Amino acid sequence: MDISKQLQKQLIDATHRRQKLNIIGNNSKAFYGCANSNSSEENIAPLHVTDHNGIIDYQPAELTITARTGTLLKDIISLLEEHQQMLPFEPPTFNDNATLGGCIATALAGPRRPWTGPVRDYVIGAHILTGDGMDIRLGSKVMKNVAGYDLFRPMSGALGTLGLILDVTVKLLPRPEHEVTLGMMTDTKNMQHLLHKWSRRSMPLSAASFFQGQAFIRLSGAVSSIEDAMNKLPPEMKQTATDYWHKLNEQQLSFFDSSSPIYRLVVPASAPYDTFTAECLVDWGGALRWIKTSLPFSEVQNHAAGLGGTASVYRNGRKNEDVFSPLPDGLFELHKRIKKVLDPAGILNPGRLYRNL
Amino acid sequence: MTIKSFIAQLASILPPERLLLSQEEITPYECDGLSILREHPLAVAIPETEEEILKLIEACREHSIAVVTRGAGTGLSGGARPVAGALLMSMMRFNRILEIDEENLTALVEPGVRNLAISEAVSEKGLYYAPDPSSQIACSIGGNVAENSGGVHCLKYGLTVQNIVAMKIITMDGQILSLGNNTLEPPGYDLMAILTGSEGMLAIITEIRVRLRVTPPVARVMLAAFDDIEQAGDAVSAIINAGILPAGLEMMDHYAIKAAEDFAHAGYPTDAQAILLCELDGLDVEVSTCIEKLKPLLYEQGATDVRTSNDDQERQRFWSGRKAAFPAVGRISPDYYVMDGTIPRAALGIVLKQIGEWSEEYGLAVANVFHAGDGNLHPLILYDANIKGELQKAEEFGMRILKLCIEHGGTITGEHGVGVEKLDAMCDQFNSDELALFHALKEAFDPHSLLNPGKAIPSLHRCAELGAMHVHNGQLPFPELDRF
Repeated sequence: MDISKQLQKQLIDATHRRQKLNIIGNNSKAFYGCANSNSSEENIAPLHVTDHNGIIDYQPAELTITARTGTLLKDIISLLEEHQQMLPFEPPTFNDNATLGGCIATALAGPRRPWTGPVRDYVIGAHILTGDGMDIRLGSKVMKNVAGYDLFRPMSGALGTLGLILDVTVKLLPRPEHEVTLGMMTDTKNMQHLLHKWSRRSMPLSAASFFQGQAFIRLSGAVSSIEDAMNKLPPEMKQTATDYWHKLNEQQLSFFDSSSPIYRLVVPASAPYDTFTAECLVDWGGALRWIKTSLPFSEVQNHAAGLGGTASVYRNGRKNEDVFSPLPDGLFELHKRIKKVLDPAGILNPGRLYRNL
Repeated sequence: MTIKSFIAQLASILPPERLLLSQEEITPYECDGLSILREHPLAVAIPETEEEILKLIEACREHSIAVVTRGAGTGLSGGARPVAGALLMSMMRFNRILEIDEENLTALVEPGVRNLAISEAVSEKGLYYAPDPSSQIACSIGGNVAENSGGVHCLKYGLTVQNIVAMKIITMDGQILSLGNNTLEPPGYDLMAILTGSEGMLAIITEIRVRLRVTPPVARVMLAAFDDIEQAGDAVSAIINAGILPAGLEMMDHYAIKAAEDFAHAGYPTDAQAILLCELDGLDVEVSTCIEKLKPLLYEQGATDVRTSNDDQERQRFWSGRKAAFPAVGRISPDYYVMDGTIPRAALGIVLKQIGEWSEEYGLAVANVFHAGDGNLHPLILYDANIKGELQKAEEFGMRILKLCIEHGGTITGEHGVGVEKLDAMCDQFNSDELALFHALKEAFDPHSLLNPGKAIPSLHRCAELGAMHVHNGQLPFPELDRF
């Protein structure tokens, strides 16, 4: 269903009345970002977009799909499966509730991300409404396009603060012919050593994680190349259930069953593990570390900075605090100016990415 | 504040050998790789440090004089062509590789480093930098970022935007900002994407952290000949549909094959109407599996001959013709004009047919060389600038090709950029709201429009004069904007 005209009218109206809006799809990631903490005080009205849904164009031979913001990810994923294709960034579907728009806006990517790339690498076109209701088409349906400034990729990860996504065109990849999951008992140091070694030997890795004393890897590719790769692995590495990745990606592992803050540390994969004691779940081959600790966020941030990365509060953060890593002043000012270009009245998801943005 | 005082200020910042003022000295900078568009700058500055850049742009701000940043000057759309009355700032002294991070597979480089020099510096470690525009021997990485350059391996490895992870920029108000970092997810908006391909209009880039990749153990090229160019186009879609993602997938038409073969002796079948070059890389066993799958598929699609490189020497030879296609065509025609439109792959056949018909209509031959896997066309329109009116005919022909690309859901430029050359075509691709948004974005970075003004995004006035502007609801957007 196409409700773009209705959404446009709502935005023009809200801009006129300076009514702040909270863009809502299926609300599967309502916990993410910092807006929820102050939505009640600031009288932010919901703007529901799920009715703007449906696949607009899918040509398997073009390796692209265009779909409206409210389209369920699970529907897209199953359609692509029929054609042996996939969303390369393996987004979580949050119990099948996640929509394409929310997936792009949060830019959350799954275990495959270090090997295939982030969400933004695959956004090749976005049709958006600016805060004041202008209908703007950015990018196109082809993967190579350098006409005009690239404002379509920044829609990914902007948490709806730079425009209302009406539809997006995403580049796809062929699904690997075969996948195998393997695991072994070890420690993080050894896993780091092995992963580094394998990364230089063109091992067909597509996921690597560490949890509760066990390292897990996934190999993807042609049957022949996986068989070949398995011969090069340490003998203690044994095949294990493939649904580990689904549980990890959908946050169904026991680690996530918590009411205390869950932090997300994004660091260089080579960063050491032994500088900090906390319950840790490792994804992205070590480049993403989920942490549970009673330390305050500021200390977690310092720790992440010491490792050359950043930290954010993923769930259960404190109200009225920024949850993402702070930006230097000059850069933050530039963010504000860019936001103003796309949302002059500042009504789209104010405070969701940063409280003062 | 006069030009004289501006020059005096520049002279207090840079030694005479790095401040070019005479006509003889500045003439080599009058154009980039698109030599039909020329302009003399006011002066050429060659800074070596960020401090010098800060002082130079302070002088520009104080005197309201624009500045155009330039790398190696190999761009094909006039992005680095000087602006009259403006300072031209060459970044070629920023030519150091600052750090190679083997653990995280990145390298920190200055913008004047040549594209190929990065791969050369890390090749001993079994690494390389993936984007490989055909000018890679000469072009600078800063220019690659400014234009979001591609190459023959984009289908699998992406453009420049997918292969850089961080950069340091200087904004026109003199701030030094760091964008991105050495992790997989930097915080904040994706300003890296906005800067990449921004053609020097938003900021001056002083450092770039590029992503390195591990050189695949095996790379082999298949060369398939076809009697019919549309069949070759369909074969491209068939390869993708078979679930294979080649590292490179290139196509050349009969005219280009002949020119390239005469020039490079690559062993191309000169009687073929089209050839496909399909490179597969990865583990030995994986590449062999793909080749076994592709061979029958290519014959099924109508290929008359399929050859596969057996060693790296043969692979290089297969590529040599394709990589030399532009100079090869330059040898058989006094002048040629390169186009850069991109279309969905399914439209390849129909678009090529139309280009052929127009070629006859204009009486100008066309050699087609293109990145078929990406749908990125490079028709080379052959003309002779010494024949009165031929250049204009070639430009008009080119413009029609770009409009055709837009009609088929594509874009006017896949990797060469808009620069000065495609400003008019931008009026066809974007409506006035979209162009106004781009202008507003530039203003957010560069409020006084001092960085490479007049490039990449046409003024609304220019589009209105062309009659191509799509006015929204009968009202011009941003009525407060100047319509220069």
